[in-house]
Amino acid sequence: MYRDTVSNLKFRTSSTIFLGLLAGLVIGVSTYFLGDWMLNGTDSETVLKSTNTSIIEDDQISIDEFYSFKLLDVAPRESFEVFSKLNTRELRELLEISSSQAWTSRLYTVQQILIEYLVLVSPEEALAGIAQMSDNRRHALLRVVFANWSQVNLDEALTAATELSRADRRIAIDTVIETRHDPLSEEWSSHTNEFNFVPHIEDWEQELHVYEILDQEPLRAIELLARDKIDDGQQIDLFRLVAEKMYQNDKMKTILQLEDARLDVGVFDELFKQVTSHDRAAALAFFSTVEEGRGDSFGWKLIKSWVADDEEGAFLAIKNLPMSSFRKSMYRSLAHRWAEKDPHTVLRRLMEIPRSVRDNALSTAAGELAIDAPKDLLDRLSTLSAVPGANVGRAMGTVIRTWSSDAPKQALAWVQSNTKKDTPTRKELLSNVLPEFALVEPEQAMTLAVDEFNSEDTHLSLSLQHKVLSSLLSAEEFDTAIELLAQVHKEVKLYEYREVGFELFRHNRLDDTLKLADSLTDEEKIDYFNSVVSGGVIVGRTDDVLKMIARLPTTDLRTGAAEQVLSNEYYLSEFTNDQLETLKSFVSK
Amino acid sequence: MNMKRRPLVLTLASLSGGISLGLLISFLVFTPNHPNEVTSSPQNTSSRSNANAEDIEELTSPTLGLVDIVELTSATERRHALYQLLENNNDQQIVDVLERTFSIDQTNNVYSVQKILFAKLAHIDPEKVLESIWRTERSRWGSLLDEVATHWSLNAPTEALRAFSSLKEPWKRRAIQTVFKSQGSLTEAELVEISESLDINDHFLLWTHEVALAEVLDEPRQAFDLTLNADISNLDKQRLVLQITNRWLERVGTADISAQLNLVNEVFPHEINSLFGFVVTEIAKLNPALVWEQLSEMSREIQQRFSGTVFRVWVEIDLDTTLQVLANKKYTTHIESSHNYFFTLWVRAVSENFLEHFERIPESDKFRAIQIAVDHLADSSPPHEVLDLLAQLRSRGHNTLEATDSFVEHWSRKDPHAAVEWALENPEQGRSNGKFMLGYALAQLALSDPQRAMKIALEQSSEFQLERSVVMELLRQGEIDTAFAFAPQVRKHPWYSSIYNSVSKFLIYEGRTEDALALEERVEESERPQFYRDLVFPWLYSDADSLLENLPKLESSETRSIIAAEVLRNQEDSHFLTEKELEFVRTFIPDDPN
Repeated sequence: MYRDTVSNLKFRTSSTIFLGLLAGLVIGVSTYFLGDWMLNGTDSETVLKSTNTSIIEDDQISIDEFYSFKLLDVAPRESFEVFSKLNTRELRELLEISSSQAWTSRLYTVQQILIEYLVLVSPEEALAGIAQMSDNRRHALLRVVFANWSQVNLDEALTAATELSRADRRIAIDTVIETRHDPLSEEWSSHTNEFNFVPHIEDWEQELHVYEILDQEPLRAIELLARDKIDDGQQIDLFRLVAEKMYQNDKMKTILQLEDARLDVGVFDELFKQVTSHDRAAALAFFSTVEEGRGDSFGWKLIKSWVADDEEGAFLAIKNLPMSSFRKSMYRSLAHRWAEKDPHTVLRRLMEIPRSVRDNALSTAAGELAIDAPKDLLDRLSTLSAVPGANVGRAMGTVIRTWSSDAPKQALAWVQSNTKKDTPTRKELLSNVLPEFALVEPEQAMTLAVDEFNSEDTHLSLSLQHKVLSSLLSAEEFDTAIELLAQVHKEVKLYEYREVGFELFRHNRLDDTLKLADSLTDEEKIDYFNSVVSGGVIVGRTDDVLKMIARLPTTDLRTGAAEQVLSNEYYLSEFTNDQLETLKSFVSK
Repeated sequence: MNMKRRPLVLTLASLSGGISLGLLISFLVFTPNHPNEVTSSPQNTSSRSNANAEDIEELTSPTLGLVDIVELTSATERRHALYQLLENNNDQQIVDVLERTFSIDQTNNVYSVQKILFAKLAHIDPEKVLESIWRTERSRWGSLLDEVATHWSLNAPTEALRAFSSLKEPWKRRAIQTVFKSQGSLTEAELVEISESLDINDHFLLWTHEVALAEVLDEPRQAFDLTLNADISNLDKQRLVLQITNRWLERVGTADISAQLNLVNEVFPHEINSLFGFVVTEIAKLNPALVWEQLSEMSREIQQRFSGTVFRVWVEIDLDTTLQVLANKKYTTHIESSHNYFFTLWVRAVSENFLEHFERIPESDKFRAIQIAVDHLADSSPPHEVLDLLAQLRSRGHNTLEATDSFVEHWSRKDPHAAVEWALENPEQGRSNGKFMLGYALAQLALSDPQRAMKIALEQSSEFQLERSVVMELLRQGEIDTAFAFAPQVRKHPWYSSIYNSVSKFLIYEGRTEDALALEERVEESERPQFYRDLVFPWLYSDADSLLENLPKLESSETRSIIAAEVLRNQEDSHFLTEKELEFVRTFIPDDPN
């Protein structure tokens, strides 16, 4: 009985403990899940997918709010946990929303992490997520996308890169190459041909090659870069790197080496500026020792940028050079650039500028100031005529030329009232104003030119009559020019007929070219047509030349014109064999 | 214990134990953190659906060592593990971790770890991390600098700009641009002030231009106009013009080439170094034959402006059609003088295989083609190859005299010794029995070995006057004393005035007036008037005050008169003197003109 009681008691005790433990177990496990649910919500994509609702929707918090309130405050490390709970769409949306957030270092890091996540599940979504971002952010994140994508799936990454815009494509492909460092591997080979990555790979190979030889052979590196088929502008950073190394070794001699490498002009200019900016005075002194022409050209380039920043410094450096033609040349460059930059100061300090370049300074300054108040400026220039080296006439010519393009009548009136007839100054100023005046009042212009003509003038191309006609011809006012020919002085008549006749020929007005000769004597006609023929051959119009010769009114003229060509080896080389046969047929037997 | 209470106690005790056990089991069984997951479950990159779930499992992984982290294949895992490693580390310890990466094999994964470390250190000790960049592989410097510059600029842009402004190129420019583009905390006025104080104005101007350009990038006319007028370097203009062009052409393609060319003609200024060529080249690349065809329907002005650029693109991809175009002179002669240019482009394009294409060139153009090809090759090919080409052309009966002279001139700039030797051995291959090519080569040799150049020159016929070429080149290059020492050896020739006329001119340019005047003694009596006349222009040009000062001091009244007359003659063209000065000069001319 006792044993029964004891065993009964044991059984009850065991049952109680077992049931208690079982119930506790159930409660414990339930409590765990309840607590976990309360603390973290649903926590896996599997759950998200099965319910087809996101945590954010469950919580009735918009993704924007979620982002604003939580993510910006989340340290990068914590973001792993946040992202792991989001589905692809949410990750992408988060990325898109991030574009409107103020860019901070933390946000940039978080965006990188976000993209790393997205690339694992859907790189296309990562790409789409940054598509609308501003260029700078997009480019930074594009690198993250392709650095990761190319590690995950090179094929897909390269294919996607080829579908981007040109600018983005370059960034993407360069990132892939830079990240993987293996574009010559087999994995790439099929893509290389399919997507024409060759230029990118060549760029990369060239870059590595330059790095290899840079320290030991910078000169070879620059040659390599200059001779390759890659656009120099695209390689500017490499050029800069090599130029810096060259400068460390050879100082200003680097400039000569760079020029010898025959780089693109724009690239050379950049490197020139980079190297000389180390020590402009030393550069100037070095250029003074370089062979003529080359040294001058470098010096002018240097002074141009130096004056832009500090004209006084440039002035002092030139002053310190020993007297030489180089020094004078640099003064001329300084005077020109300084007057362009600050014409008022140059006028005020004219006497400080060396006499030998004073006229350059004054003329340039006058050109700069001429637009605003030309008449006042001319009056002011008149007071400077006693300044040695100022060459006021040249400066006045500049002003009148500028004024004439705006107001030729007023400019002409000023010249007529302020200069004496038959003086070099008047002629020089008239030659500046008449070309413009001729375009508004051609007859008056020619009358004036004829009136001012001095038979002692020997340079036909400098005569005022020629200036008037040239201006009309340039403006293609051919009929007016033909009419005005009747007025020209006999001393310049033939010269001007030849000029007008050739322009008519050049502009396919052969009938007019031929008709113009009617006003000439027989002797003048020979000269006239020979001149047009020569000009025609020189500009490559051999067919038209043959046409014109065929239409010349007399056999003598045809023979003369043809023989002129046939006796000149250079002219002959411009004709084909067939044309030469035609030409020979014009020669009278 | 009361027996009645015992079941209750047991129930509560077992319940508590059960709950505890349940929780324990739950934590052990259901918690998603397994300590060994990181290394035991490498990311299966193709199984995307499991990716996030697997990542979740990594979140509480224990700290791995640097080498283990580097070996992780997933970027996410690598980053997470690295963050764990760095957690609770002080700044120096993080620097130490970076230091350790330099001693590991520099794989792609090490690079990605370094990138994260550089970003992190950019907050902690940016100056130091900047120095560390130069310890990585050179090919990584650019991207690591970008990363550091981005983070630094987002945290402390002023300090970043200060540090970057003292970098060497190309890193200075790259980093500064990154700061301007990334930072958002400084106002424009602050940026202006900082840029001025750090002397990086040009970088600032470039950035502000790019910001403005971004607004109108899809409006090519506005975008070009803005860029052409921007205060930035030509190379930057070139880069941006290409950027605008490529974006434009990606959008419009070849739909309306005439409109595109018209726009370029209107927007780009008609001046030297105009950037229109870059735009037209890109347009031509789309389909050069089509662009050429449409161009030939456009105005004469546009044809003259753009045809060379289009032809240059075309000739590189289609030698046959472009040769046909050249053969049909009608096609090109309406664009005056362009035919020669097109022909030059075509010959240059075939110059490396010149003989292969030579027979295709019309007979009348062959002479010119030889010169063009040889000039082109002289810059890019080894001399023996060019000489071999010339020999082959000569053996076929072609005139190569001018081309040979021209080649020796090019060659002598690079290797004057070799060029001189060859010219001496092969005088018959240049014009005038080698006179010209030897003259060019000796002039170049004079710059490095004047004694030898002079010796060789004097060994040649006095008719060649090669020693005069040597002396003149030395004068031009500022070697006046050497030239002066050689001057007595220059042989007289009826066609040339005294060499001392030239020497004195260069002495005047150097400011050595007394030395120049003293050369009078070296000049024969009959040549002295010309000697003085030749002095006047350089004297007026370089130092008119000195001339006016010295004129009265000259001993001979005849000399004074000659110089004064020459001054007046020069005045007609050059206006060196004022009226008052001219009056003074006129006093040295006798009243009696005889």
